Amino acid sequence: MASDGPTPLERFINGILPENPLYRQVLGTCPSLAVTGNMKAAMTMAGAVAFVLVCANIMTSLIRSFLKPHLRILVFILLIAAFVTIADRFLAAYMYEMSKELGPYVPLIIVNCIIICRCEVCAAKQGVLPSLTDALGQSAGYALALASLATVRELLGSGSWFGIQLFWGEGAEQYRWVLMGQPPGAFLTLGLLMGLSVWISQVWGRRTKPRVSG
Amino acid sequence: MRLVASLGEAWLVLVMSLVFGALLAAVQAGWGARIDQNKENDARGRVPLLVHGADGALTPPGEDLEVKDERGMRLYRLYRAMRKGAAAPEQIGWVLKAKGPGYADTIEVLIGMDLAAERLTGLDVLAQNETPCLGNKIREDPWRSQFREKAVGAVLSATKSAAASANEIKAISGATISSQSVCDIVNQATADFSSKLPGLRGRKD
Repeated sequence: MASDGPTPLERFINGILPENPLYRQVLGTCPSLAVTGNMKAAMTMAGAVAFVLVCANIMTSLIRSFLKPHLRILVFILLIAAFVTIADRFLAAYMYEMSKELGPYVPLIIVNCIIICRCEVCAAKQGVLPSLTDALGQSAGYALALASLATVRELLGSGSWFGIQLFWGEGAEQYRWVLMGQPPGAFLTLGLLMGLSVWISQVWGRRTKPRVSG
Repeated sequence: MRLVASLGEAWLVLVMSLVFGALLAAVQAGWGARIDQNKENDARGRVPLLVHGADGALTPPGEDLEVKDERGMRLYRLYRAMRKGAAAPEQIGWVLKAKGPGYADTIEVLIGMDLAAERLTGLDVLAQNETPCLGNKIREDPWRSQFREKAVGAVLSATKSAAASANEIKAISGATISSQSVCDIVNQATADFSSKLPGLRGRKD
């Protein structure tokens, strides 16, 4: 039987740029703005989201034949909340300082639209393999988006990357662009990088309108 | 029949609740002790920031302080601040971990006091989920430093204008409730601590 949907590999690739959750679907913007002041926090958040997204997509796919339409959102939230709690406890146990730095943004993954969106449009309708590759692709795309935001903000705001001072010594402290570490810097960077991602898509001849595969 | 029909609809939710509840209980059983130890180490490490001249490494493990009255039971964690570099162990102050309701969630603070428990020596915020850029400024030193040198037992209150009396704390603009919540936590905790102080003096672990 021929399938007209994307292949698992296409789902993975789509999540990275053509359907990037942040730059193309504009989902999960709140934590993206809040935790991208430095790369360590951004990558920890990306890891937590990836864990929850992969687990939630696999579980949703496994139980999809039992889902009742009017209870599906409740089931998704139940699944996601359980995995987010595990991620949150793991950080508190093994990465305590990072857990404190991320604060409420890890528990808030429960209401992250990226995860509910992928459960709804993909995992609730597809088998385990397509759901897994979809989750991996979206996770990679989200991690890429957070990394790009955090790289720009940490470099300009602190002169460092992953906490390592790169090209600004202590004598050049006054040249730090402090705004980049603040909320306005996050909005500014997101807007510019979003525009850049659209431009790249246009250059590659892709459609600029965001698409969500089901 | 209605019950059977409802169960037929909701069985998946019920089963998942039980399975994930058990899973989370296992997670807590496995990691709970480690998380508690992290919190304890964090609190002990902050003692020198709250009592001038104290050494975090010398701070003994905290002890539970339980207060019961007509309003119910309140549980605190008490740390004894030890002088840094002293030839023999010498206590120079107290640090009390207390928590109470904030605007959005529970706020947990560390309250530093001198040995006589007459003056506050510092305040730190261990945990909070107050509104970003507003209530979460309770963590920042310029605001917290207002509590230093306040009298233990004084009823502190947050005021929207500049503090006019010794018992007033200038509230964070746009976050009066969060500011007052911290004052309430400090007021209750120091009152409870003062009531227990005679029994604590001279007692060593």
